[in-house]
Amino acid sequence: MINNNTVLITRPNDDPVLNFLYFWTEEVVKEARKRRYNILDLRGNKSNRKNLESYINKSSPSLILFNGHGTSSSICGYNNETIIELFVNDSFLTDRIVYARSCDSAAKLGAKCKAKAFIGYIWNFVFYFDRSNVLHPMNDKLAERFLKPSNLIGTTLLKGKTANEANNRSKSLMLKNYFEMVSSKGLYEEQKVASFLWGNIAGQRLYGNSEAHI
Amino acid sequence: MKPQPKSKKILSKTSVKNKDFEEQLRELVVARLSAIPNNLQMAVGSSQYTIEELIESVQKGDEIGNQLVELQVQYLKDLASGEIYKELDDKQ
Repeated sequence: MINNNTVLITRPNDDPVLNFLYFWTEEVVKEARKRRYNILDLRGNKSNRKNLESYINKSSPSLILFNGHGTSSSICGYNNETIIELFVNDSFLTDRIVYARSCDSAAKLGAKCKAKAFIGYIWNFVFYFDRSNVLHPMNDKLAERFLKPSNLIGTTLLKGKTANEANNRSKSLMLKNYFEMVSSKGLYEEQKVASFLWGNIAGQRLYGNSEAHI
Repeated sequence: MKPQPKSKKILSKTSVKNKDFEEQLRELVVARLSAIPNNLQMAVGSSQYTIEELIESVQKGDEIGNQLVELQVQYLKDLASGEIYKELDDKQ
């Protein structure tokens, strides 16, 4: 039985790139907390396959939000451990709504698993950041242009909206950011990396039931 | 749902047909990357890259370099074809 009041989040933090995702995910965790969801927060080294499978078996979350490295058929956790892999343990995603903020994982895993709905990327998920902000990821306004729209997927789903709405709202914000970045109002550095935001827009895919919601 | 899936094999297709064209694409992407301030880094996959490393990858033609060329060429095609503006219309 799927538990509509439970959300599971993975957010390893064992390298600087993941550390950005770790901190930016806090925004989604706050939204879940505000809405009184039961939050299974697999942070840091808790993002491993054993914990993931155990928590899903025990609490059966309706929504799973992955942060981590990925391939076309898998998603990784802490220390690059593969925690979900197509044809190995993808059944843990069955009938759940999934968002994977990881490279490539929508290409095969998202397309073929039996998640109720799966939102992810069919190629690299890319973002830029200022190297002076590595220790303070939340201060990075450039990273915000890329990461805020991806957070919107999670927060929209947590509000009970459909997967289609979450996907569209995220893409709309990315487009808004893109056009602001390339406009004359955009900072020089924003203008130069805006094309990479388009890559995220074009590569973001929704599979499964677009009307699915928690 | 738009945009439709697109081929990521632009470079491999062009390289078979025309080596000079492939070289021109690399030079184009290197020029675009060179315009990015050096205080920025790109996060992709399991790594972070400085601008110098990205340029080197494109010049060497390694995996990340080829992916960058393909993504940038796709971007320029979408810009030229109006695909980006179509997406904006769809979302408004």
